Amino acid sequence: MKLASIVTVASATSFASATILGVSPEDQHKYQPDANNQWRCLGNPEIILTYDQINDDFCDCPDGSDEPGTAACASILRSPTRFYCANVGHIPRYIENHKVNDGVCDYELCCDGSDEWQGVGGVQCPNKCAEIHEKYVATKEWREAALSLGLVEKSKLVQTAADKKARGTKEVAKLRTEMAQKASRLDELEEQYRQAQSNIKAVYNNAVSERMSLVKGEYAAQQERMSVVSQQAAYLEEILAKLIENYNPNFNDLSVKEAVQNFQDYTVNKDTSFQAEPVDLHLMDVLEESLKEIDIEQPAKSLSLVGYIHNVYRDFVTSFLGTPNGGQETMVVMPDTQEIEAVKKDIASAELKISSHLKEYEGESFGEDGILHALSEKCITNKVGEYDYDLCFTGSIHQKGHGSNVAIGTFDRVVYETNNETSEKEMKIFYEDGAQCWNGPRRRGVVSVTCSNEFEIVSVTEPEKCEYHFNVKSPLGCFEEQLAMIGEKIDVGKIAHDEL
Amino acid sequence: MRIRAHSLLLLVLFFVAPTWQVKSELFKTCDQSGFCHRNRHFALQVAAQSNYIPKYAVSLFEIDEPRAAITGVVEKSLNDATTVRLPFRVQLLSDNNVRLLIDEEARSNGTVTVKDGKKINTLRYNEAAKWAFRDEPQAGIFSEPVAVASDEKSLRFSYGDGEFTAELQFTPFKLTILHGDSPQIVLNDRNFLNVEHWRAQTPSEPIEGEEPLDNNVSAEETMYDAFTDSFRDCKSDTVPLGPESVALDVSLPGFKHVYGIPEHADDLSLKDTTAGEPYRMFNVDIFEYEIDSRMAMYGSVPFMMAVKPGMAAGVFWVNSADTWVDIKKEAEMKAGDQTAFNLQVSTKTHWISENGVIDVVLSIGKTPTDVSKSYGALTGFVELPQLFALGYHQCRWNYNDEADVLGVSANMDKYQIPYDIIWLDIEYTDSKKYFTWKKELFPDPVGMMRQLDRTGRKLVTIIDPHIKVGYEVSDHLIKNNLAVQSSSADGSAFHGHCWPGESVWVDTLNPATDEYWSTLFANGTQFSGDATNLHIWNDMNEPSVFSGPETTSPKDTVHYGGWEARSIHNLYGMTYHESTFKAMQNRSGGRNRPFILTRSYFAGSQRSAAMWTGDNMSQWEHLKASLPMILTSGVVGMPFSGADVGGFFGNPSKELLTRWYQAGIWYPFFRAHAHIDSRRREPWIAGEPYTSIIRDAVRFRYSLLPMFYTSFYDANTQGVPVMKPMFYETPENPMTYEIEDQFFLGNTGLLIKPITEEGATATEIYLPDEQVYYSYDKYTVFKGEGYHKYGALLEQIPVLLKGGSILARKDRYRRSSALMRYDPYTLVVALDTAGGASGTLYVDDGQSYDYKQSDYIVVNFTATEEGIQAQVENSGLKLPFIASLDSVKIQKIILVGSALAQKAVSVSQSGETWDASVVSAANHVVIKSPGISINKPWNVTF
Repeated sequence: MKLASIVTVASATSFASATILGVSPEDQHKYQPDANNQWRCLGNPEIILTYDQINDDFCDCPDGSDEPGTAACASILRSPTRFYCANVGHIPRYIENHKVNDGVCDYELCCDGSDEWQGVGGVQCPNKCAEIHEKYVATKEWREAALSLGLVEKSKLVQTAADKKARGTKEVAKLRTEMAQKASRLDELEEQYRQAQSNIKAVYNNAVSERMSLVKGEYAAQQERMSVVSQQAAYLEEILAKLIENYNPNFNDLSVKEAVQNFQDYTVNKDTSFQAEPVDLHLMDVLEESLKEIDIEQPAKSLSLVGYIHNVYRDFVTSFLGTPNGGQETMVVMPDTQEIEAVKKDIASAELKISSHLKEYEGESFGEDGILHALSEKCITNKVGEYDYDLCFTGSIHQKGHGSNVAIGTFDRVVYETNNETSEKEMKIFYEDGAQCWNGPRRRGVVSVTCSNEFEIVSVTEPEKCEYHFNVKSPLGCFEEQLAMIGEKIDVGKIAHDEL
Repeated sequence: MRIRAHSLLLLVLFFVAPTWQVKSELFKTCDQSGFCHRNRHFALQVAAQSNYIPKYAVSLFEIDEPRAAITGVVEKSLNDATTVRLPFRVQLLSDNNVRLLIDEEARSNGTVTVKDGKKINTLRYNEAAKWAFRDEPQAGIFSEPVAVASDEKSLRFSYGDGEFTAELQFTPFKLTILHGDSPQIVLNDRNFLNVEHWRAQTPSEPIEGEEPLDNNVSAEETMYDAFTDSFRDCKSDTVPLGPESVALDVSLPGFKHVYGIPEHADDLSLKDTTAGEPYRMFNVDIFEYEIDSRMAMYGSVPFMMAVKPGMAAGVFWVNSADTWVDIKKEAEMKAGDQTAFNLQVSTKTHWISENGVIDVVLSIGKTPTDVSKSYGALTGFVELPQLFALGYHQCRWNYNDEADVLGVSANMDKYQIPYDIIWLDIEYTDSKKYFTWKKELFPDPVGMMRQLDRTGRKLVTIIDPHIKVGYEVSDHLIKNNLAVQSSSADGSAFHGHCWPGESVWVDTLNPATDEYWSTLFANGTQFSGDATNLHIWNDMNEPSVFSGPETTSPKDTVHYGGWEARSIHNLYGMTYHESTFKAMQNRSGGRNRPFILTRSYFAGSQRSAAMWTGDNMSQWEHLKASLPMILTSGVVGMPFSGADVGGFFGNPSKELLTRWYQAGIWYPFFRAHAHIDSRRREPWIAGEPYTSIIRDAVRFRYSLLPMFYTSFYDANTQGVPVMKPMFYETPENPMTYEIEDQFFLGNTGLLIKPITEEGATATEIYLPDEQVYYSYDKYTVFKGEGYHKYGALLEQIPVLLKGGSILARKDRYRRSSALMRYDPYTLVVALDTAGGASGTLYVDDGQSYDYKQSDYIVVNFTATEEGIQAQVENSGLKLPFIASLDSVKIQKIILVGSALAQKAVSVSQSGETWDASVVSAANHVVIKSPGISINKPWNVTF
């Protein structure tokens, strides 16, 4: 009986008798018997087998190397031994040994059906290599053409980004020249300003005392009102908080659910800076003292502080103190701070522009070649499932529909990864800090880009609550190195099962 | 800064607000439940009176010899000296079952009417048995003719080859089951028998200390909530027939331990309830349930088993109404032995149901297995599942779309984790309309199923009994009166809220529903096309009604036959999954065994569905609690059960998830599931070393599928639990009676102790006898009754193999169980202290009903010091499946505990003889490639 089963194994092979089933022609030499008709496990040469233990459907070698043609060593994880499918007329492939003789024609790897050589349960896997190869070649050519188109589009984007960068470099140079001129003008103005300061103090202090008392009165009254309103709000929040705590989520009362939902959104997205908090009236006295103590006669070390004080003064004059009597007003000669402010603004803005230019074109946050700069104005909108999605590449992603407009996230960074399975380069764009989820994190989006000459949001999934995965077609996802991989990526199994 | 701190505090408060805990205020306590309140009150009053005069006595009887029955009338005495006539019947059934039925004459002869013109059935509900029993029960045979005892106060008959006796005492009414002269089960021992007879509504309740206002209300009764329901959410629920409860006490002398009456998140051995709530059986959607609780849950099986050395008893309370059971453990002198050293503990139970007839079946036998067999003979054994259903089920609320489903499936293969079934929860539907698909997400469901089928994978989709209003299915139900009706006189459909919003409920008590239900699952529909790998999940079938009292339908809603939900509540869920089962049988033209998962269940559900323990939580306590819950399910004849691996609510730590898989592979129903708000947790998410440990665990399960399947065969033919409590293996050892954290896999000899403690590195396994046990992986010897230390690092699953066992397993990894079909077996022969071993392997096509035409084999292996041999049942039959096994071999025989030192052994099969080589290794020897076919007898001679 045992002999009989070995004969079955041997006769099922279409190779010459010396050929070992499941081993590629170039590896056959590893399966030669020694002079004693013995053989050593490939990964464990200390284990010596008789030659007929190869492919005897019993796993002897820890690395599974004695059973390249059977499933006897199928349980070994990541075994270096795999079953070789010659796939004559197509491309030879290897298949995991657990797929050998399991009753499934695994055409995606073995178009010749040789993985089911035993025909268990009557399974028949006719050789489909000819048809598959034909489809394969057609698909490959089509995809190569598509990739070329995508690469052309991508090169345009790279060019646009490069042009922008060149413009930016020019701009930086121009800005630097302007900045030098503005700086000397600022020195002049500040000197004039210092001379004007000395006259202001007296008028200022009088005005402060006179009007602060009125302000205090008004403030106290407002505060009283405020406290009533915030008590009411707190009371309502408390009621709703209790509702959230105690409502039965299993009861599908739609109005309760809506109330709970809205209040949850309100809570997590509430602008906390508006929290009402009683302020001690004493603070107003402190403010008054502080205002008086400020030494505006002396030029401050920090120019911006002088500007600030002047602004405070001006605001008091216009909004709190009212117009003082005409005589006093004319006695004070106001320095022209507006120009100072304007010049300073120009300088700051130029500084900002320069730094942002420098930042943008150094580092990789906008992708290789800063390619996303080419898309700083680009948004795409697609309806996927029940929602419309707006994706602005260097902006934000929004989900619209069912009467809501939810921010999924704002552009954060680009990451290039190598896919474990296909060993192919992939571009991922991350969008962070979207709207807060109730009882969860902030929403975020991860865009996986696949190569195309056009832009489209192909699919959106939410594998977990509030984490959105987008599959987006774009030239951004096209890479030269994909050309070599196109054949590998073609799902031969799909061709075999769906199209034949 | 103050502002900031204040607002942060506020935010924190809001975030912690939705703490997870059961909303216990939604559910009644016994005190808040009218009939439970009344019967507990009644029992306390009766027990308090030392000179209490019992009210129930047999007034008339006759013996129906051919049908082994005694019929007659029990009279209940009222205050005014009149009596209420209660027809009764005591009958011996097959398999040592004795059944008692008590009805109420006034209710059965139609003299009771209901005001307000409601069209409800006024009989006491008497059809629970029709649903629970597999067939019309077979009459047993009296061993001796019925004889009136000499004092003419009682009547006896013996059965079970004369070993057991049933004694009916006339005054007061009392029924006792004896073994020899020793009472084992006593009905109405404490005179708690109470049949609340029909009476018109009285103006007021009797005032304590005064004469009752009405003759019909005795001094020991209270009329609390007899005509109304004052519980918060039940005030609009009417009580048209007034008080109609039935209650009975059952004493179990000398039985300290009782089991069963699920579903509760509680210990295996039931607790004394005197100081707290009784165990409640009332099928409800209990949200975020508590551990260590007797609160009602999703399913009910009113069957209790009592076990003591040498004897086991069963009490099956055949009632589908809201039911409470009080349990009291009492120490008392052993009969006939008054020495203080002979105190014994007895269990005294009190069964209380809201309405119906009294219908109780008493089983008796020498062992728990005997009683399981008796119960199975009555209600049916578990349906033999398709083999795939014992594989790994991958579920989540929800897999979002076709790409998600196929992606998860592909990842299982990528990580080489075997799996058989992927599941879709409610989100696959269009607006929760069952039998529809959300087309944007599932444009080609049939194509998706076909793709899964390529590697033998199945799809399970959820179909719930609440049917959204406003589409063809609910329109059809309403139009054809196939929906559950409201309590209004016009018989209109009951409307309530569930997942889809406003819904009606399909009334599967109506036989006409089955036909329509089958059309929805038929081949060629939009829903399922011609898919051959679709199976169904029936959830929310308690029924769960979000807007209803106690999260279910009002008790005054009406089902087919005019029965109030009050009467049939606990069996509704079963009628629903039975209808689905029949529909799925029809889908395959009666060829294949359907797989149905149900959340709600009743006695008899095992015939058509698997169950799981509902919405558990990702906590260590819930992992631990799953074991006694599933063990209990096995005791009550429902072995195909499991708990959500990983826990439904929340996010398990990686360690908890890993340990849960290691425990979950022993659940007869092995499914991972997760709530929609939880993080993804498919096995590859956790990363190393967890993913590999989980992979090893799942593969372990798959290697043992032949043993799981054989265990199901034993359950299907003998009633042996698949996850088998210790006391089934060694019922003579009382030390095993409370053990609920270790168990056997059926009769395989595998003893498992899952780790349910965080951070564990070792555990203690209890050996219940003096047999030798071997560690599963290294064959290390453990011996001696008592606790033994066993290593339990994260990658270790404590499993022992009992000496004397022979396992058959399949060791090759394949993507699914279907692809393992022709793989060779490995035998593990673990010799016992006497050098012998035996084991069984059941094999059929794992799919169809052909096994009912004998197209299966049972291989009985035996080993001695001289060799190993196998007998094969049906070996000679020329049937297709048996023939297909010609190519299925035994690739390896592992001999443990053997001193075999030869280099070769002689093998013979089918008249041929040859040699097989023997290799020795640590603690075992291996017979390599013996070349034996599994379907024919063979011998290996040492």
